[in-house]
Amino acid sequence: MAQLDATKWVNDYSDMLYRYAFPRVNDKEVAKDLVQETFLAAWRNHDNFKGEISEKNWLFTILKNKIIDHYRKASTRLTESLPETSSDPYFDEAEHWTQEAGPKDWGIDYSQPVEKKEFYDILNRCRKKLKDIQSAVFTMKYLDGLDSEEICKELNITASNFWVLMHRAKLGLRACLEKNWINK
Amino acid sequence: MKLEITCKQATEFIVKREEGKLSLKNRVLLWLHFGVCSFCKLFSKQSRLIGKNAKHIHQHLTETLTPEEKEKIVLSLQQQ
Repeated sequence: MAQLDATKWVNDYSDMLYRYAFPRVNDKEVAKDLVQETFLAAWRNHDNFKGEISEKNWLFTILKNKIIDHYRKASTRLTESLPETSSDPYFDEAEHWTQEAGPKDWGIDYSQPVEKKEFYDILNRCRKKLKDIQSAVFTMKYLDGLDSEEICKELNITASNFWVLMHRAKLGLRACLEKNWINK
Repeated sequence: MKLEITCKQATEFIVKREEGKLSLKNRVLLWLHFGVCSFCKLFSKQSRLIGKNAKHIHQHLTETLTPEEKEKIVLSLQQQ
């Protein structure tokens, strides 16, 4: 086997892998660790690399599996992180919006894509405030474009769990964006 | 048939509808609810906006690993 060039590998692929991992795990340190683990796994298993796909795709496949494992760790803690229904910050006893939590008009054209970088910075900060598992379903759905059945299968959760998590994720992100982006 | 739904139900319906997973009956109930609830109408627009824009998150990401961080990975590989 040809001598592998570690420096070339890392220079060619590390930024690409990092930029893929970071928005998905939404944590710089975790993303760096996953990139490093990806290189290590690829390095150790290079003898098994058949060259049927490109080296780049092979590295991405390893990284994607590591990200899914990261999400799964969050889903094993699912039972502890399901929201308490007793103290709901959004709805009153009749399950209607409280005056305080009710959505305000953001005064923008909702049908247009948002171009401001600030929106994305705040959206990322808001995602951090979600429970890990809520953030995982949101990310798999909206960054990876998976549908609910695929996500349930990957995370080994039920459809009803999925909808509770997605509902809470959306309520949380919306409220956080309104507070920090619109009303700042 | 009970025609009124609560805002909590309506927001659950909205999230399901975004994935095309809401039954016809519930779509009608949601539509009736929108007639009397401007909060939920706004929630619907904003929730959709968040979903549609979330996929652009990575385009607004310019960060890279530092040379030191790359060097660390290279060293860890060479130590194998």
